[in-house]
Amino acid sequence: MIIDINGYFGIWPYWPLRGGDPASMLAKMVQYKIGRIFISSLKSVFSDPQGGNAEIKNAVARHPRRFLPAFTYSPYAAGWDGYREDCEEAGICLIKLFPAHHTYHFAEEPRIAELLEFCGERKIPVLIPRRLMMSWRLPVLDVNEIGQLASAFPQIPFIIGAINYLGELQTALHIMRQRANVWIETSAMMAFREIESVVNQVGAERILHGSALPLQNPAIAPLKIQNADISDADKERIFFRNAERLFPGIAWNES
Amino acid sequence: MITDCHVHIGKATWCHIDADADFLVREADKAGIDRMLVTDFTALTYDREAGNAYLRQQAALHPDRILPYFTVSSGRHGRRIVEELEKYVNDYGFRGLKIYSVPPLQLIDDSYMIPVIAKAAELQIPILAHSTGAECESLARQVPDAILVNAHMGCCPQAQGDWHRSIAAAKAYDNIYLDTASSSFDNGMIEHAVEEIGADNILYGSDLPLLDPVLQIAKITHAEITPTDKEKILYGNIDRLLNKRT
Repeated sequence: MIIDINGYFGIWPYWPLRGGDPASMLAKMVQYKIGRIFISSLKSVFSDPQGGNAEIKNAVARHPRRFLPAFTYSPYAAGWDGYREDCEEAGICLIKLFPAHHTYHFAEEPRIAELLEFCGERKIPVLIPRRLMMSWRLPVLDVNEIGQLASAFPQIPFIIGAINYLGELQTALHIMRQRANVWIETSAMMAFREIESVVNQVGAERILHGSALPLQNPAIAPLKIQNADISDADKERIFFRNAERLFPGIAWNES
Repeated sequence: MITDCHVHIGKATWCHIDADADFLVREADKAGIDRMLVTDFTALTYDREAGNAYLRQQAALHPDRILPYFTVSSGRHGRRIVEELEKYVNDYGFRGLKIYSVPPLQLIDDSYMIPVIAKAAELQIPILAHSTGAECESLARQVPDAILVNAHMGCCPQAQGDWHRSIAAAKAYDNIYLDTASSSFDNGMIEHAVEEIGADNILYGSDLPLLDPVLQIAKITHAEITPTDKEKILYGNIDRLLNKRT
């Protein structure tokens, strides 16, 4: 089984997106043996976080054994404080933040601090992608901002998302070595022996499989784990056991 | 059968690489790559003469597997580069030219580079150009016989990841080809390229040892294109270009 921590759906504003609707995503999940995926709406990233979160609720309600909710909030958008209701209604969820797209810095935003206090109380994981997908034409976030948050909110599991390689990977791994509450997902890792390097440096226990489906080719994400020169036990951890540990309330075997 | 049009050898401090020919062949065997077109890091970033000489020596260890590119990062060393290129191709059996754009310091389509490109066109060897699609268009205009391979098909920082722009360049000029090596694997990128320009001008590349060749091959094998088009991209097209000279 594969659990995918980093999925999207919706409209891609820059060029035609293939398979961005929930039905197409479901087909790709079957094809590449992705059992369940946390999805966030691209509407939440580019236009309307509240409207995007409503789309997610609808999609999860239609496909509860496949989709899991990843809600997004901006301190400058309507519904910025909807997390209480959204998370309590969902039961289990992930929070996903996009400061580079929503134009703010974590340290300057009391509303973000309020959201994170809430996540800390309930141990809700927070995924912060450095970029939406591995494209050199999209804005990126300074990974150190995530490290600062992880220090300020040690009770929250933070997931560093969409890390590519070299300097940004080194920074992410440095943060993981410093902070036990920091995890990493694999959607933008493409370097030679990168998965092996991450496992060797920080262990396999805080690595999560991510695809950035449907923005990226869904064949690649599972393959980079399958092809890595690591133990089968570590592959299982990355594919689903770590996610089970991070979200203990979910009955994964129902998928 | 797979021929990889974009592989590096040698040392590069910026990307923590130190790879020799034996290493490349071992990794190629694991990935199922038959032949690799290889460029030397040192020649690209520091010492052109030492780097190309090292590649010549290393390629000789695996002549059936490693096809060397003569590598030059700047046209501003004058006439000497043209003479070196000719010598490496005619006397040492190098199979292509690798050039590298370093904006704003120097672009590959400035007037200093044109004599080098013209010589490569005369020799009928492929030119792997780490550059923007616009730079390739400029070179294609200035040297219409050049065989220009736009490295990374725009998926590199210099080209700001704009693979649409690179596809447009290849659509505008028949002698511009696209190399698929990159850490980007946007959903539908290969399919869109084939739809726009056909499969004949697309070449598989890995960027080994920076990137994982297995994943780079999967970008092609898992693309929703015909088996015939996959074969063209994985080896047919680059083999056709290499045969222009022989």
